[in-house]
Amino acid sequence: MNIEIRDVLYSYPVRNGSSKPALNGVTLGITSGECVGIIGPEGSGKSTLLLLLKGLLQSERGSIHVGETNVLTRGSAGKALRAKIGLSFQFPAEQFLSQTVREEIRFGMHDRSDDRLAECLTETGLDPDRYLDRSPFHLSMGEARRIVLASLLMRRPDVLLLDEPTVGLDGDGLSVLTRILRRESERGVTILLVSHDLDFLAEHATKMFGLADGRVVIEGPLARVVSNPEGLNAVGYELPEITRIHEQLWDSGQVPRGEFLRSRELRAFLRRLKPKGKG
Amino acid sequence: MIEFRDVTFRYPGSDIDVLRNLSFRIPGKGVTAMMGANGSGKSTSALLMNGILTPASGVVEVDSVPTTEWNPQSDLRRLVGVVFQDPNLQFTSMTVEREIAFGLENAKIPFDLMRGSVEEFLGRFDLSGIRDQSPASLSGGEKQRVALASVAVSCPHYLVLDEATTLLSPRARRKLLADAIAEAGSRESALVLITQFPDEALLADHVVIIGNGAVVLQGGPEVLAASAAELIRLGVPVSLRDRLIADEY
Repeated sequence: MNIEIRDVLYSYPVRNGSSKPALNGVTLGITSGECVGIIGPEGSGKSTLLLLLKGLLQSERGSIHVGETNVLTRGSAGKALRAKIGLSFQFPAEQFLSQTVREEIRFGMHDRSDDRLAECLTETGLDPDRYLDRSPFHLSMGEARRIVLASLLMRRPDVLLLDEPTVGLDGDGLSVLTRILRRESERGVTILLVSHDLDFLAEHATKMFGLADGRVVIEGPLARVVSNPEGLNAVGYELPEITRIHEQLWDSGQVPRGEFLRSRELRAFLRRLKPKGKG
Repeated sequence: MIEFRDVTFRYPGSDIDVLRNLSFRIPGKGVTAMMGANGSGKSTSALLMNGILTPASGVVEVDSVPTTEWNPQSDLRRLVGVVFQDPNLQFTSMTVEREIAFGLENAKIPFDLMRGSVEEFLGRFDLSGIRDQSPASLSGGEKQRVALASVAVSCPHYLVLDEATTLLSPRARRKLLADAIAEAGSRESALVLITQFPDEALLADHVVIIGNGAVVLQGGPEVLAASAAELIRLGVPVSLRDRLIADEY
């Protein structure tokens, strides 16, 4: 589903009765099936943007359309749209509503079958026998994040909005998330990833937006954004490891300068660079 | 020094031991990093260090005294300050300023001294501009900065950061850790980094890897590079380069 965000203003109230804009005139367009990375320093408006896209907040100005429909549309059309938009919060425990993992994953769903539920949980790398009857509130952050992911998969979303999805995940969790995102991307799901992990974004995103003080300050194709130190510096980032690896390949002429490889191709190059007899 | 000796722990109502005969030491000064897969018991270990949790069997000693024998327990909490993974769990106040003052008020620090410390830490953690806001209204990264400042302001000898910088931008995270490491050096105190970031663990003097509730690997930061394949098998994150070479991405 295409996403069109036009001139959005949203402010949070602050203590003395005034308000502070979290997003101030944000306009951006995302094509259906695209995976987009959103970066920016703390308080730049990244999470607010996702909450607006899910229809959990209402902008003071501007509009947000997902497909042809305004995300705030009332009635069954709006409800059906928002049900196809899956959002994972920055702190997974904030979105839990149920006393067991089983009830949490199938919350509000007509499909009560344990088979689909177990399948989704297994996809996230968690053993259903070990987790379904546990409280989601008694899990580590990494485990909780996998539960949220399972509940999103259960709903077969058309749009995925993931707020810092790698935080708290261990190495295995990161591999699981990578596999799921690749598959959902191939399925045509439109994906927005808010993350400080540029190496992770470089594996999935094709386009990047950088926010600062509630405004879009950088945008462009992935390769251009993650290899631009000045642009990254403007939003509190440095050149990531993935770019430094690419710089070696560009300098050696093995890859045309500016071309960015995904991990599968990159791995082949790194193996050739690896000293013999090590690792 | 913090010492775990044969520590076993299980949460109430659970039939799974989170920690099983866990034994390791954290030196009384310098930087120790703890890594491990999800659910391996890292956060539980942090809560055992300052007595919020107590072992089912075995003993956790802080400066040679079992955590269960510290009296009052508030002395132990001041000695071992833990910044939680989820800052929402530790907020108690209506404003950022009050949140940072909270620990000092409880410790009955004289007002003028407290005032000065709060101002210093508001500045140090770049919070002056949001001092009147409710911690609950802040972004995730801002909340983490408030949580860090509110524990660090009491200058605990052992500062335990349980994935406490995960929502900060890379530059802010790097600066904050550099400051914390420099301070641990100048105060001759101890910093414990529970982390999923290999680059953070590389900053430590000592690295402890926990798997299935027990120590599986420990040593200097060089163990991370030397044992990349083993770490991947244990579910511990490794650098992008090691991950790519090991065919795990």
